[in-house]
Amino acid sequence: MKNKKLSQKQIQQRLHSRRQFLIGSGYFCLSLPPLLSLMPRQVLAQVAGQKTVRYVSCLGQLGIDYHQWTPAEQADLMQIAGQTDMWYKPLANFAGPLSRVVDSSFQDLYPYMNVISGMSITGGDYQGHNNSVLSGTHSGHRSPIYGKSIDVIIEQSPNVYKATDVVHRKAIRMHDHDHVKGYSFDRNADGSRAISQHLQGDVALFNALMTGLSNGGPQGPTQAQTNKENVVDQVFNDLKALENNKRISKSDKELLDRYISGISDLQKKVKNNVTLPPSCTQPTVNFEVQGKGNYWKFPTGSGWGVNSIDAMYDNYIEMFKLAAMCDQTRVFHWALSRWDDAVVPGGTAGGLHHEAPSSEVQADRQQYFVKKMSQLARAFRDTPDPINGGNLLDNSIIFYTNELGAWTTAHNIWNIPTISFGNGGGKISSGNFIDCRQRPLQKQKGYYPGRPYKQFLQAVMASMGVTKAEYMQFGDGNGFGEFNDTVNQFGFNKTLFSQYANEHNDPLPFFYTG
Amino acid sequence: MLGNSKIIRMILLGSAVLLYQNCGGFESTEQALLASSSSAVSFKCTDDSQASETKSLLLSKQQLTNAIEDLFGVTTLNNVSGALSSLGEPINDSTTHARQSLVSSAEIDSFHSIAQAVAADVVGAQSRRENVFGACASMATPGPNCIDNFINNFAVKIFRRPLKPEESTFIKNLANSGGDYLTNLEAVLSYSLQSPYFLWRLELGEGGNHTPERTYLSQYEIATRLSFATIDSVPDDALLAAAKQGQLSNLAQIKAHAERLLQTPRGQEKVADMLSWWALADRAKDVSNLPAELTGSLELDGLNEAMSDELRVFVKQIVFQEQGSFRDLMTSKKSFASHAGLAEIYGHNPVTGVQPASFGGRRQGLLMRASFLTHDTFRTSIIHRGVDFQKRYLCNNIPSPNVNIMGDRDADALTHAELLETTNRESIAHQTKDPVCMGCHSVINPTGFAFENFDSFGRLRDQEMIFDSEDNNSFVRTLPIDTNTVIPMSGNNDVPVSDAYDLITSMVETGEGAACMSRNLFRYVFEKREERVDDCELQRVYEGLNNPDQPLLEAVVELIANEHIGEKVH
Repeated sequence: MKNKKLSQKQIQQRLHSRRQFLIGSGYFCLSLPPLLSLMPRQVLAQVAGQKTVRYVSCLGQLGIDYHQWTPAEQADLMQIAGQTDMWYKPLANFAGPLSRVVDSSFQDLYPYMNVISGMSITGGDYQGHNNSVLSGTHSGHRSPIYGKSIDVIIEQSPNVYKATDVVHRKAIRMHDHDHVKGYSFDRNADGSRAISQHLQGDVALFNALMTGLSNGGPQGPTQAQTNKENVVDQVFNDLKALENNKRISKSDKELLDRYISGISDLQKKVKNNVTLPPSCTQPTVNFEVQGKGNYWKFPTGSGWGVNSIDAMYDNYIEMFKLAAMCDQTRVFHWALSRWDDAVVPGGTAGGLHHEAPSSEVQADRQQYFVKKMSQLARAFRDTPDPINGGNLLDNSIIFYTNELGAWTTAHNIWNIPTISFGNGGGKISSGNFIDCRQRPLQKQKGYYPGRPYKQFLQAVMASMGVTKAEYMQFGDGNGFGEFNDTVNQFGFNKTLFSQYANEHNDPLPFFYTG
Repeated sequence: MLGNSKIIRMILLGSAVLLYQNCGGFESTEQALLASSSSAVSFKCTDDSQASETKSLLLSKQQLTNAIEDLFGVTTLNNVSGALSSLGEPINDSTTHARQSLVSSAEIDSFHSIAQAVAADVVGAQSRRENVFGACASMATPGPNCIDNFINNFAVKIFRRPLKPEESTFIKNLANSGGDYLTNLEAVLSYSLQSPYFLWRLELGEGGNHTPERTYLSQYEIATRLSFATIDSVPDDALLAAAKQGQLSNLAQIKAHAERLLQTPRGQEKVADMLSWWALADRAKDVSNLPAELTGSLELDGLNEAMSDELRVFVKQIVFQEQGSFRDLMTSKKSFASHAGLAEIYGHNPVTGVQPASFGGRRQGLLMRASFLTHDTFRTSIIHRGVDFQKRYLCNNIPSPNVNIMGDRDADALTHAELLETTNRESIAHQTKDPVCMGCHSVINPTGFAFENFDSFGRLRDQEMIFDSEDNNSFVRTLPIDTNTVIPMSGNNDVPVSDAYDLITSMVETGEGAACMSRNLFRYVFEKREERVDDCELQRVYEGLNNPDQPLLEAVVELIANEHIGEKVH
């Protein structure tokens, strides 16, 4: 390559004219980025608008008949302003048990609860199991397959886990049986489903979630936190060394100076992570799982040796609570599947699928898990939140749902059971029975169509900090999930959901207040 | 009706020479060229040893995305799409494509977040982990030297050079710092992906033969510069191997790699990106709300995407499949429109196979495709077409009007009633008749007039449909189109044309188009505005483009693998 020095005249010719300089300065001033180190301290507090919110989904196979989980008496419902098909009534205004599933034992949680009826999958033209329910679609049984489940979208959102956050695991997924119906899935490069990895049993949960906590010794930063600080420090040192390199040009040095200033800000953010309470140490757990067998045999098949399934679930709940408090993860997904009666305490015969002898028995079996969710909600309610203040339930969204809206063979995807706990960091209203069935009430082949279920999921995501632009990417091309206003379920071919064409990508109103 | 077209042409001709000197000027690295007798085609190459300053750039979002895919695979890329979405696109000047070299806290946080996400994904999956760190990384107790696999192999791809001793030491200590090994590997990968040597395209040279004004690049730095210029990504294995063996030491070796890389799918995409940018393919307007009488039976669903897609197919066909020249690109009548609406616009049946159709009527080449011609109102935008064409395709510096001039222009606008009896051309001529306006509009208007035989969908027409904007865009009448005009080009060359077809032919014949394209290719590839000292390089590129027998791709190779690829001018 040629090597000629520039003359002084040539160098001077390169200088910008005054006009060019002013234009350049104008661009620079107008586009000056908001580097943290240049901002007043009070602005820094305003930047952090979104609270750290925890997500817990509990999903059961099949469903529960509408009348088993919603109030028998639905008089005195109040219409929600501006909505033709949303009515509500405070849960506290219902006398006695709300329903067979939501009995009187839930009353202390009413201020944090919602029971939402009418949530309907607005896609698909097929009655059948719906292991896509958490993606707001009914596409699992046919092609194309749309979207991602919301626990995956939440886990991958940079607005949920920010660059400076240090957590042990971004998501934890438990499954008790039938792994391929885990309901949680990402997408492979070829567009096919990538079923999320699930764990089984309290030993696996402990190993995945509790090893990030110190083992009872003096409280110190975790290994991941220490590494993260070291890495950012080293990047800073590399840049400082680079800045002093004599072959860095003046204009490049100016750019690097700005970059170094930004890395300096990053160092502060990484080191200013929340100080967790001293109780964030590894718990002592009396494990109920004694062995390990084939996953489809869990938890009662040969090889597993679970002492008490109920006690094992209690271990889950305690570890979920501790992990939420100590920010070991913010996403919990607990998928339930078909058990025999050994799993459901008090069960007498059959499983949770077609085997249940009646609508009532099916409801009672599902109620066991709704009550486990209420147990988790109470544990969250009674635990201070060291990150946001208040209690964990204030800053969590926990929900129980099913894949279908009916028991046994109907496989109806309308009126899916939807019971929530928590206020989602102040973005979720609570304390209500919310009836979203379409008005005037009119059954179609015995079932009520209602609002898009995906609006509920969108509200959950929004409360976690996922933006509309983010979740809109994952669906049928028209937004999150699947929206087909001429859905042909049960042989009908009518514009069942046309009235939601303009709002189906918004979070569920009234429920979502963010 | 306002006069006739002859009168307008006389006014334009008479006023153009006097007024044009008040409006911008054709691009030259020497502004004195403006309104002189010289042509913008004439670059002033006086010292081939000189070149303009090269600034270090951060990887753009596209480059980082490509790099992640090339280094770690498409599965990882998909899995970190959420983190990637937080990173904004770099800001490039709309005309000169010069990168606005700004750095924000949000951008740094995004780089940090992306590095963390990639590291977690790669280390979390056994196959991907072993691909990066070797099989020993999955053993129960990896030995202290296990990390050497990474240091000596994969890290070279990330850093785009062998690691320095201090970098190797830091990585080795981090990997063996105790605790969970995989947690440490995540930190190692996260560090590597946040290193300024990965995120910045830094050129520090090697050896001692540098001057204060110029640094001479190492073989690895040449490989990096070449790679990002051709495929917008990190060097591939062949390029790194060539750098290691010192086989990027002369232009012949470098050009061979440039040609190889440009032929790859990513290289072809880069050329398609480049020419789409030049063709203003991203300017397609929303045509979904135009009057029904104007829309007719045109299929609108997916039309805008089809415009962009077809243009890219066309570019790849001409540049790569046919090894066509600049002239071929500008004059070919081939169309690949498979979308019913776009095919109707282009005047042929939808293309169903690989064989192209042919444009109907007076339409040719890259610049008469629909995306440039669309407008979101029933009256086409003569001014936007004129300004865009002059700036992007003839490299004429048309300034934005100041508020006072816009006030003069608005004051001369026709009334609503007059507009119902007036063609778009007549309306614009009347609205911009003020001598202050004509300073620029003597150039802008004739260029826009030449395209008036294309409606707001980009369809050919010989009658203009007039609609009443105050009566729900109801149809009023048709008026005949007049596209005859005189286009002022550089060097006071006034070129009479009967329509835009003639204009395109003229810009090809005169070399004006090739000259301007050489500047735009330079701007796109190097993300900076050319300077006077770049004229020798521009001259070479121009000569290649202006040669009807030379493939356009050769000019691109000449531009990228140029005399100065081995040096960084400060």
